Amino acid sequence: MSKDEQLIKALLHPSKKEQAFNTLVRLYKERLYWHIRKMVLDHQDTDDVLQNTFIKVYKNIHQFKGHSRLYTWLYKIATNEAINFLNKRAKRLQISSEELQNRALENLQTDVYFEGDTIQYLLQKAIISLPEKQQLVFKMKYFEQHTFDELSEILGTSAGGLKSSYHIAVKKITHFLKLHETFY
Amino acid sequence: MEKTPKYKHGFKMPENYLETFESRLQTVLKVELENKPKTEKQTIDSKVISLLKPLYISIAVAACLAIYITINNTQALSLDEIAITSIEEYMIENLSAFSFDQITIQFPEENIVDMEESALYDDQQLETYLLDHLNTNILIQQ
Repeated sequence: MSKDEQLIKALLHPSKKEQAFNTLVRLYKERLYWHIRKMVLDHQDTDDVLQNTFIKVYKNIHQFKGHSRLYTWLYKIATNEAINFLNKRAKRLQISSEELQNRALENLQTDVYFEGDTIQYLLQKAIISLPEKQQLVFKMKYFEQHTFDELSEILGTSAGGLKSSYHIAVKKITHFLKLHETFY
Repeated sequence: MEKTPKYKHGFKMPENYLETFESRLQTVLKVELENKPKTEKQTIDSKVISLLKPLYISIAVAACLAIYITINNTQALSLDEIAITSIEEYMIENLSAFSFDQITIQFPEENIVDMEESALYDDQQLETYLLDHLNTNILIQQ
C-alpha cells in the first residue's frame, strides 16, 4: 500500500482521522500555500483560502474516490477555492475580475511580502494580461514545474490542450516583456 | 517529491507562518464543526417547551385582547366619519387599481336608480355645486 493510500485509509477511519489530517496538513500546506499565493497574490488572502481549502478537505474526505492522486485532488480544491474567493471579492466590490487583479498587482508594489525585483513585477503584470485559464496553466507549469500530465489531472483538460495553452502564454508574455522593457 | 523551484516569483511568507498554521487551522476547524447544522436526531431530542404554562397562556390572552380591541376600534369607524374628500382622494389616486367592471359589479341596478333619484342629483344641488366650484375667470376670458 502506498503512503497516499495509507493516509487516505486513516483519514476515512473515525479514530485515526484527526491524526491523519494533521499529517496531511503538514505534508501539503507549503505546496498549497504557494499555489494559492500565486493566484491571489496577497499573503493574508492566501492564508484565508488555504484554511478554507483544508476545512473543505476535512469535511469532504469521504467523497475522495481515489480516481486521482491525493495531491491532485488537493490542488483541485485549492484552485477552486482561490477562484471562488476572487470571484466573490470581485462581486462584492462590483468590479470585474480583471480590475481586481490589476488592483492586487498594484498592491504588490507596497507589499512587504513581495520582494521581487522589477522584472519579477513585470512578469506578474504580463501574466495577468492573459486569459484566466492561461494564467493558471502558465503559473503551474513555469513556477511549480508540474508536468502536463499532472496539470491535465488537476485542471481536467487534455495534456495536448494544455501544451498549446502554455505555448501561447509564453509567446504572449515574451511579447509583453519586450514591449515594456526599460533600459537603465 | 518536493521540486526545487526553478524560477523565482518574488513572493515571500511571514516568518514562522507555516509553523503556526496548523494550530490556527485547528482553532478555525473546531469553530466550523461546532457551527455545523444539527442532525435530525439532535432536533428530535430537543426539549419541548410546554405551552400550557400559565405565563404563556397570559401572554397569548393579552395578545388576543390587543388584536380584538384594535379590530373593534377599526370597525367602529363608519363611513360617515370618514370625510367624503378622503374617499374621493383615495379613489382618484387608486383609480388605476380599479376596473370599472369591478366597480359596477358592486352596484346593483336598483342602487343606481336610487342614486339618480336622490338629493345628490337634485337640480338645485347641482347648481349650487357648480357655482361653488366654477372658475369664473375662465368664463370671462371666453
